[in-house]
Amino acid sequence: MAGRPHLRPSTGSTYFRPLQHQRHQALHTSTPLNKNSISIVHPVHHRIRYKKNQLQPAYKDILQTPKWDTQSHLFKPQYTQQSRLEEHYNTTIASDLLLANFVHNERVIPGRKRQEWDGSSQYHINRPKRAPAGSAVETPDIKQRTFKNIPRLEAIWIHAFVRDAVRVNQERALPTMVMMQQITGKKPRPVYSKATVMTWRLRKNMMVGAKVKIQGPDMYQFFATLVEVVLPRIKDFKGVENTSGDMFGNISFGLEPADVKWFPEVEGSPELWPNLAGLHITLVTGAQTDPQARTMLSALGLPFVGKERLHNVPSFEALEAIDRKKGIVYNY
Amino acid sequence: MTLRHVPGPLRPHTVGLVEQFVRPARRQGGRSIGTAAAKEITTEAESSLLSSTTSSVAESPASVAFKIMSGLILCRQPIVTPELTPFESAYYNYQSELQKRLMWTFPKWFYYPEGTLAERQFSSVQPTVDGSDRTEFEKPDIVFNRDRRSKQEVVFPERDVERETEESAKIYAKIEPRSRITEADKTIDFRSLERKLDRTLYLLVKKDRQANEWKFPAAEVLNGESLTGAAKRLLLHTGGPNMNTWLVSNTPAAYHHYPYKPEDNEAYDGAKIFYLKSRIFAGTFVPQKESGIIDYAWLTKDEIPDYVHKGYWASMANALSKQ
Amino acid sequence: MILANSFLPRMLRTRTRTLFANGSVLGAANAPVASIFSPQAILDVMTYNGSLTLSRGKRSRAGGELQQKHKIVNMLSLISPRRKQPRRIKLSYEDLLRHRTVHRAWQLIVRTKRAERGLELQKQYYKMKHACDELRKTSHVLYESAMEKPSPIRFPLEYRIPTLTPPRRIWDATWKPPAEEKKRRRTV
Repeated sequence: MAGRPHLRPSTGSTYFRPLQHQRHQALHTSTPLNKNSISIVHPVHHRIRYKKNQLQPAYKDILQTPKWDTQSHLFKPQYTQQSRLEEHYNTTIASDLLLANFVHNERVIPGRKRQEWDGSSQYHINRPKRAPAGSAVETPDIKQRTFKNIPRLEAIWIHAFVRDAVRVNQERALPTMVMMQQITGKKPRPVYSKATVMTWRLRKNMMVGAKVKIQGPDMYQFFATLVEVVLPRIKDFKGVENTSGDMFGNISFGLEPADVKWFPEVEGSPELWPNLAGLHITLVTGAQTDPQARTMLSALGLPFVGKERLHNVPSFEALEAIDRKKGIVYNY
Repeated sequence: MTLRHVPGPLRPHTVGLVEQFVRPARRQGGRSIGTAAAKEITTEAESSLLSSTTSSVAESPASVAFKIMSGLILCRQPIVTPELTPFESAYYNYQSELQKRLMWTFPKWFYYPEGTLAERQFSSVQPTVDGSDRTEFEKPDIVFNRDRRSKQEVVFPERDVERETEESAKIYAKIEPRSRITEADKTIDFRSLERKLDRTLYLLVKKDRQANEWKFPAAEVLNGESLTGAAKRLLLHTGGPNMNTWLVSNTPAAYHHYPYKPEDNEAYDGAKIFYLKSRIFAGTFVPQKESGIIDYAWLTKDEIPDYVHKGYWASMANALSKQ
Repeated sequence: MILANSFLPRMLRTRTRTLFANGSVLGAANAPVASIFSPQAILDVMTYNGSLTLSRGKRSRAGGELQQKHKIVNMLSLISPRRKQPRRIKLSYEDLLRHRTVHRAWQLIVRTKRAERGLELQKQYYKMKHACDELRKTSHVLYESAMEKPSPIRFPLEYRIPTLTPPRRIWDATWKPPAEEKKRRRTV
């Protein structure tokens, strides 16, 4: 929806939610609601809203100064030293990944798309397409792996849910939040509860944790610390589960409260960090599938254990049969 | 991985059928291999799929028979980070100074709680800040013992030597960085794996012959062997068993072919070499006597052109990494 | 400020002062940017929800409670830039030009390096593609075996991230393959 202001808190509570225009909905509709195009037929009724107060002259300097300029309020020196892991990826890993993933004459594996009606009824005309088979939403195509799309670590999300913040007191979430700031170098956001669940003693808008996203050199620094310092010292740590992943190349795993103390920032002063909670770490990668993401992360030094969960894609034979039906013959 | 490549016209179940054609034993006197075999098959099975390949097969002349060889690009990854240019190091220095200038004040009250001995020790070594080091006609802006107009100098108290235990001494011992330039660099020892620490090194071997002495190691693929199998055998027979290596992929990374001259006395008209890429992590390459290797060298990409033939370098250069 | 106060509940709106935070510990917020993620807002939410009472005039009997509050404020002070944030950098016009020139030079280097890397990878890609094309023409058996991928593809742990200076032992030249017996034990 275009009318939503971009500066919006991620709490789902209605209390914090910015004002929205109620979408006009008829009792029934003939077009998909999530249409992502806009009308260009005159008269155009766009509902893009500007934050008009930002257009006043006082904001000109703040909003128009680029981020890298010392005069910008967002200025933060990024590359204060050579990024070891990033250099390692560029010089060694990217080229090896290209070769290890290379598949000769690879073809695009189409994702699950919305399906056409068969046209047996006159009402099929203009009816919105059916939902994709086996999925509620469309999934992207899996493209050929070339030099252009070598998987790369793009961002890391760190999230913590502090159970004691609900059970005991909300302030129990604070040490974890501060700890996240100290280990990532970036200020986390608090996470507030969305709903009231009386059996859990959970009320809406309670602070229950924190989350932070890191990118660029900060991210590589954090990942290198994780792989070289923290994980090797965790007792009984064998690796990240091979079943982890969201199907689209993002791998998640957790750190127990006892594991967090191995971060150098915490280890140096353990008495200052009471009631730390564990962390959920999500590695956002540019890989198209989970197996590809795991391969890339193993090259960066993250161990994996367990039985590999393969990507659920149609077999080559099935794809070929579909194409043959359509009359497409490949010239191999 | 379930991601399937598109195999050639020959699906896996036909492989057994093909096998008898693909590698005719040399003793049969037949010098034909792959190309001729593929032609036979296409005439045998005239499916629409198969016929589409005849055009690609026809590109290489069927009368020429090649010896198929498996080569190895054995490389050592960089051990230290890439060398910085003067501009880069100046830039990092500049950015790091800006970062210090923009850092929030060190939260002393958190790390050294008030009234503790540690706090007293810490406070005693901090420089006094009164803003007198600045010459501008500006009020000094001093909060928490920091002039907010400039970067903060945080000094940590020295460790008490008397209370030092053996373990803590070990932990806090000053680390003396080792030089990035090693003995092997000084003596220009091409056989050492400790040279050029910030670059990828590639193994080249020298054979006792007139031309094309220096090459990446390669060996003929024997009957019933795969490229990978041949490469493993090659590594064992030329460099010995004491190397910790890892083959990046079964897929070749480079290809080179050359015709044999009449004086070579070969049964084939030429050779096709498919190079696999491998990484070495530990161990030493020790040339074996039977392999016919008289010398070897670990070289960076820049150094290889001085050793090898121009045509050979043209086939190999693009497969290697510069850094 | 920039962020509309209408986001905040009415109760908080009255209490919210000018807040400084730009989400970055190191970056300087030269311009005030209010945020609901600021420590003040967290404190407000906690007070609102009743987990913390910071009321004036009401004396707490137990010293422990006061200590607890002190700890909370101490923690919050770490994520708050208040009085810890340095002044914005003032550069003369010449220095500003210098900064911009340095930045452009750096961007140029980064861009050139990226392009070089991309080109190198492109060349490597076409090299392996060419090799596979040739292999398929040459021998189908070899081609099929060369196309086999291990599942899963994993890089060995020996891949070491390079360091600024070399380690104590640069290269393990005396490495020997693990003995056969050990291998057997491992498999059993």
